[in-house]
Amino acid sequence: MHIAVIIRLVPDLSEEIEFSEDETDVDREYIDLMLNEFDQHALEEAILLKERTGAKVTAIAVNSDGIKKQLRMAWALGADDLVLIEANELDPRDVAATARHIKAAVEDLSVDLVLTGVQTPEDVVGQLSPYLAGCFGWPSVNAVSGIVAEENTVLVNQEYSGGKVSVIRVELPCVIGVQAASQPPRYVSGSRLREAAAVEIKEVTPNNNPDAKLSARVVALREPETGEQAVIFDGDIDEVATKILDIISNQQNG
Amino acid sequence: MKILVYAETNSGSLTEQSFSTIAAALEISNGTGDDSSVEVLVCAADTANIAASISGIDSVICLQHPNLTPYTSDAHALAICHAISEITPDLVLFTYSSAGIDQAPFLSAKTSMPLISACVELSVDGDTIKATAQLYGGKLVAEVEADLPAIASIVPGSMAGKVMESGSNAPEIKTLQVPTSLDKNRTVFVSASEPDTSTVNIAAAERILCVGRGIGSADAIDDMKALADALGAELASSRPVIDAGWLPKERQIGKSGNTVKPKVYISLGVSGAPEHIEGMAGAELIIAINEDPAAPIFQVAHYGATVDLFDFAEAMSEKLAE
Repeated sequence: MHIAVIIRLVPDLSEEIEFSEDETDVDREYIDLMLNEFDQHALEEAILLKERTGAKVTAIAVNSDGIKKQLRMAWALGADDLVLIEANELDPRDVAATARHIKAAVEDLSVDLVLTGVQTPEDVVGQLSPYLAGCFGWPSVNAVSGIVAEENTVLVNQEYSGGKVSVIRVELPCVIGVQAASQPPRYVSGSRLREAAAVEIKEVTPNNNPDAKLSARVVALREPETGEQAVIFDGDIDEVATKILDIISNQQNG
Repeated sequence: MKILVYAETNSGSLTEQSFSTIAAALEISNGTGDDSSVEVLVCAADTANIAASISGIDSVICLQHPNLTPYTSDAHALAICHAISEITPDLVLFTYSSAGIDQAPFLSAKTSMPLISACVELSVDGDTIKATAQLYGGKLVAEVEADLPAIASIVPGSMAGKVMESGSNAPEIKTLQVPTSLDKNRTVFVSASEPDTSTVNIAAAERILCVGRGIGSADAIDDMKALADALGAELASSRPVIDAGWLPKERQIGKSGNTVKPKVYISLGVSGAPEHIEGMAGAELIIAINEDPAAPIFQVAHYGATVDLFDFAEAMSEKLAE
C-alpha cells in the first residue's frame, strides 16, 4: 500500500495576532507558522500503518516558507519519500487551488490512501480532504480516529457529535481526514533530525493547472464582536482563588 | 430563490443540530424578502417518519435507499449530488458537523459551487451570499462573500435559536427517483458505539473541572484530579488532552465528546474553540482560567482570571484544605 500524507503550515495565533495590510488575512510574514495539529496526527497514523503493514509513506506539501523543515521532520518520523509541490502565488486558504495542485502531484505517484488532518484553523472555504476526494471522485471519510488496513479497504472510526463512533469500511483509493491518530504523535530524536537534513526532497511543478474556479472571497478578517464579557479577576493569586471559591459556593447555595 | 437544507438523521429521527440548520435556513429565507423557498433533503432507508417530523418549510425531498442508513459518506454523497442536479437550488446548507465536513467540500468540488465553511451568520444580497465564518478556534471571524449558487455550512446553534413551530403549514413531500449508482457503496457501515458511561458520566456531573492543552503534559493530571476531588467535581477535558492520551475519551467535552450542563464548570488552560463551547455553553456558571486574555472561552465565561493555571490550582487546593 502506498500512503500519501499531506502536511500544511498554519499561522500560530496563540501569542499574537497581526493582520495583513488589507485586513483580509493574517500577516503571514510576521506571524509564526506551525505544523497543522491534525496533520501531525495524520502523519502519525500513516507511520503506524507503515509499521503494521509495510506500507510506503510519502509526505507531500505545497511549497511555503518553512515547509521543507516539516517535510524533513516527516522523514525523521518514518516517511519514506518527500514531495514538495511548487505553486506560485497560492493563497494557502484556497482549498480548491491547493487540491488541484495536490491532485496533479498525487496522480503520478499511484497512491492508494491519502491522509491529511480533518481541518486547519483557517478552512474558510472548506476542508481539503473531502475537496480532494471530490476532485478524484474517490470516497472520503472525515473526523476519523484510528485506521486499520485490510486488503483493498481500510476500516476507519468516524466520530460524530455526542461521542458516537461508527466503524466504516472504505474502498481504496480514498481520502481520509484524520482527527486523531490511534496513539499520540511520537517525538523525533535530534540525531535522526540531523540525518534528515541530507534527505532529498523531490520538487514537482504540476503543469496541468486547469482554469481557476469561482471561489468564495474573504473581504475582511477581524476579532469577533463580543457580547457580555466575563468578569475578570486579577491581582494576588490567593485573592483570586478566594473570590472564585465564594462564587462557586454561592452558586451551589443560591 | 431556493434554499435546500441537507438534514442529518440519527436512529430514525432528525438530529437537533439539523433542526437548528433548518431554522437558520428559514431566517435566511425571511431576510431575502421575496418569494424564496426552503426545502429539506432527507436521505435515509426509511424517510416517511422523518419527513413527517418536519414542518414550517415548503417541502421535504425524500431519497430512500437501504444504503443510506446508517449514515456513510459515499452513499450520501451520491444521493446529495443526484438531488442537487434534480432540484438545482441556489443555496445548499449543511450543518458544520462530521457529516457536513464529509459532504459540503465534496459537493463544492463536484459542482464548482463555492463553499463558505463554519458560518455563524449568513444573509443573501441579490446574487451574493454574505457570511461571517469562524476561524482560528474562534479567535477571529472572516466576512466572506460568494456568488450564487453556493454552499454553506452552519455552526450548530449559531443562528436562529428558534426551531420550527410544529403544526404550522405541513410541507409538501416529494420523493426523488434513486440513482442506480447507490446500489454500489464504497463506504460500508460495520458497527457503531456510544460513549461508555459505566465508569464515569460527566454529562450527569453537577460540577466539572475541565483541563485543556494549557496543562502541558500528562504529569499535571494527578494534581488536577486531586483538585477536582477537593471541589467535589468530575475531571473532564477538551479534545487536545484526549488526543494526546492524557485522559480517556469518556471525559471529553465538546463536539465529538460529551455535551454537559453542570451547575458549575471551571476550566483551566482551555482556549475555548467553537467545538468545545458547543459542548459546555449550557453550564449554569462558567469560570475560566487562561493566561491569554483573548482566549475565546472568556466570551462565554461568567467569571475568569488571566493567571497561571498551576498557581491558581495550587492556591485553590490550599484554600480547600483549610
